[in-house]
Amino acid sequence: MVSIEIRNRTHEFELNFSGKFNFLTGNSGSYKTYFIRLCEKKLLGIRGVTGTFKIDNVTLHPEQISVYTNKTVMEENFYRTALESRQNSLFIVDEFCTIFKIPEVVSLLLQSGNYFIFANRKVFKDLPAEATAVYKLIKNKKDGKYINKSIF
Amino acid sequence: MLSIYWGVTEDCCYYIDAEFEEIIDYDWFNDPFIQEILADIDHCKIEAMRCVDLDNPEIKFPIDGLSTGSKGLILLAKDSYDSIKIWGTAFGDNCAKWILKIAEYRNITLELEHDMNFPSENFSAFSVLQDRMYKDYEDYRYEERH
Repeated sequence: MVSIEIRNRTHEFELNFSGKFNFLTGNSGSYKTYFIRLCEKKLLGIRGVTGTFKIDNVTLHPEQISVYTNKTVMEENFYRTALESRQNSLFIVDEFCTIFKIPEVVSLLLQSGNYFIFANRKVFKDLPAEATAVYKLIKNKKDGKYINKSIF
Repeated sequence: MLSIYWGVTEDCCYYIDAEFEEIIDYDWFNDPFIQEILADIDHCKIEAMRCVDLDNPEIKFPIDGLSTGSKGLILLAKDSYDSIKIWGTAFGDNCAKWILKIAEYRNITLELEHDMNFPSENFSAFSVLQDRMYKDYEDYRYEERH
């Protein structure tokens, strides 16, 4: 289980993901990319952003987390090395990241011992169903926090 | 006219945020149609070249912070082209009614890699796969499932 709590002065996210491969889908304007940018800011140490990233209730160190945004443009070997050299780390990936352009991206993911959150409506059908979870991001009307809800 | 293609071709407008960044014309935001899109999709309006949340005016964010869906719709409505192929999977279902509206007067091919829902009552589109117009929305749904 991956848990992320992250906030800045205007927005707060409390998200829980049950799969190894997690997809954040949903409407345009539902703050998927905003969430990913906030995660990136947290890793950069931006002072206005606080929060924690956990896998199975264990807090992750920054070096166990990678955030690939829409502006991350790397060659295939970069992603391959990143995924193969680490275990039990968290990769948060936005939809236009060039990792999705790798022809063997699914086999690369399958061989990896890491956890993934993809902000992408394209759910890879070749990933094992039992390890794949699909969510939409919604705003909780009671407290204004953003949470994720399984679409199944 | 709206056309639907399953998959992504090489000349598809795929990196929508980056494309938008390069072609943006700030006059576009004076168009009431664009303002309507922004209010519907991102729940914001433009003031002094910044986006302002409609519920909480304290929340302001740069135009770059608009959703990819909004940027794609603006691009489809305002950019100059005779016909365009665009990555439809960047659009949430809440963009579908706007795509249909824009496609009434522009030639758009949506290249889809996910199951996109459209409003069934106004649905009119051409199937690239079958080289014919869909008979109705159910016809599209059938093709989508198979």
